[in-house]
Amino acid sequence: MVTDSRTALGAGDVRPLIKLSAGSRQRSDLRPLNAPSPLRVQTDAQGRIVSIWRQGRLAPRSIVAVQDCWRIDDEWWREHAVSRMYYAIVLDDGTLLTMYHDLVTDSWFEQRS
Amino acid sequence: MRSAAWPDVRVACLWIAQLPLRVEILRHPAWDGRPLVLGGAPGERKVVQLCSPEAEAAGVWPGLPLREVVPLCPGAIVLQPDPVRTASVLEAVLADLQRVSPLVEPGEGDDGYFFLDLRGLQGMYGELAALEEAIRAAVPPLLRPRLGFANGKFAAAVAARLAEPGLSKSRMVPASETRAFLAPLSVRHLVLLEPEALQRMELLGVRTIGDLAALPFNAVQAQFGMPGAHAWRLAHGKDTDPIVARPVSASVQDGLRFDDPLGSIEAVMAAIDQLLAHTFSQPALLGRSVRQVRLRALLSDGTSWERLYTFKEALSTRDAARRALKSKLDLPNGLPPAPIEELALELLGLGGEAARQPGLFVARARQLAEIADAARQLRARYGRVPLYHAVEVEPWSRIPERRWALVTCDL
Repeated sequence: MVTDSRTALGAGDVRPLIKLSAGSRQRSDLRPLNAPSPLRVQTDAQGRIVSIWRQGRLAPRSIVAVQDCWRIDDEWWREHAVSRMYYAIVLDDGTLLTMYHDLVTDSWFEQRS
Repeated sequence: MRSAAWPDVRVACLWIAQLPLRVEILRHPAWDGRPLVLGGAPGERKVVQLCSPEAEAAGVWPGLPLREVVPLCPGAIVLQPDPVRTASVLEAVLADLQRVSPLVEPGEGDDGYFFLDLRGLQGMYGELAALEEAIRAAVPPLLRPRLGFANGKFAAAVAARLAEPGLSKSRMVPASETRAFLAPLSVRHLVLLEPEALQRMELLGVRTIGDLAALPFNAVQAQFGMPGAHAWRLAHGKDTDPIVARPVSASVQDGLRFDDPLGSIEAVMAAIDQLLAHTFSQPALLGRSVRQVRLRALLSDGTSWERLYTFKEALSTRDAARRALKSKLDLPNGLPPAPIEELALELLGLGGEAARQPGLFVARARQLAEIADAARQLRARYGRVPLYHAVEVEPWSRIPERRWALVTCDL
């Protein structure tokens, strides 16, 4: 088992995703719902993800199945393009979870959709 | 765990075909081998829902109007659905199988499937034959269960369907033989696909699972989408679906039996009151509230009745639960269609007392004033108001966190 050396980003490192129009509320007045939270992943010798460590949890959980995966590439015309590989996974305790790999920053997040 | 005594299998599937009919045979063993027909429940269409092989041999088929059953098969025994007894038999079988393997997944509804995870059991049973023996002992023989072993849930279910009824001869499909076992079988075994998709597959000349496996993955996925891709993987013996045990939910229950069956709402409510008094006095409910109530009844006409009520508000007192149940039973068709001989009440969705939710839209103006007052207190204490509205921002966005936002309340 190899622990991924890419450390989780702090919550503050997630790019702001709610765009404000001019003259609208102050940024602190708008908070995104379902904002992604950082994850730590562990991979095996072949580089496959075998377990994840969610924020605020005491121990990692292993992945028993990947139910679905899809990719989102968006806003490539902007300065900060969005490129994510999403995975719908099942953990060993039966939890269904959606997570993604941010292909731009090479980091992992959990997301409620 | 590969050895002669323990082939390379990961899953056992136990299947009870025609479960509602077998449950009736369990109650009346003399009916075994006689033509049995299951009709619709009161209020449903009067057609055959299910029939035993003996009735089928006499020309009865599912969908046939019930009035045509007796002319075709004079000896037929026509039954009404009995969901309560069927559910209780399923529960009993599940509880017994959980003593054989700690991880047992029941199928959906009353399809009669049970999947047992065999990983790690070799140390306990030594040989697969001993495990088979334990499964056999857990299920009443009159239910005629069939047993299949394979390396995945799908192949195990197919093996169980093809096994001899009665557990005397189980069907074994080791991992290395899965693909060859499935190849000659009809694509109709791929029940994960919609009937229209199966029909289209057959129109395209794909009649067996082996035909499907021979196609390129991309072509199957393009034609049949995600389910098709899943079916293709199954056809190749790649089945990684985990066995997921049903979560255990805490509940409190009690029941009553009546010498004189109860027919009126007043009598039923008196019985419910008694059951609520007993259940709410149990230690498990102290300081807790209830979200759901399930009522099960055995009726004087030999049928059963079951209702699950989910309440908007968590109920933490016996009176509140009584009022909520009375409002449900007072509705048209709220009561069972025949007098009640046995009544069981189960309280589910147990939560803390704090989970009670007063109605948000009652006395709206007063509530807004209270919220504004609370907001002032919060502002005084924290210097800001941590109260928010959820608003749509970009509902069309493909990025989940851009669709909704929390906006500070202006109070």
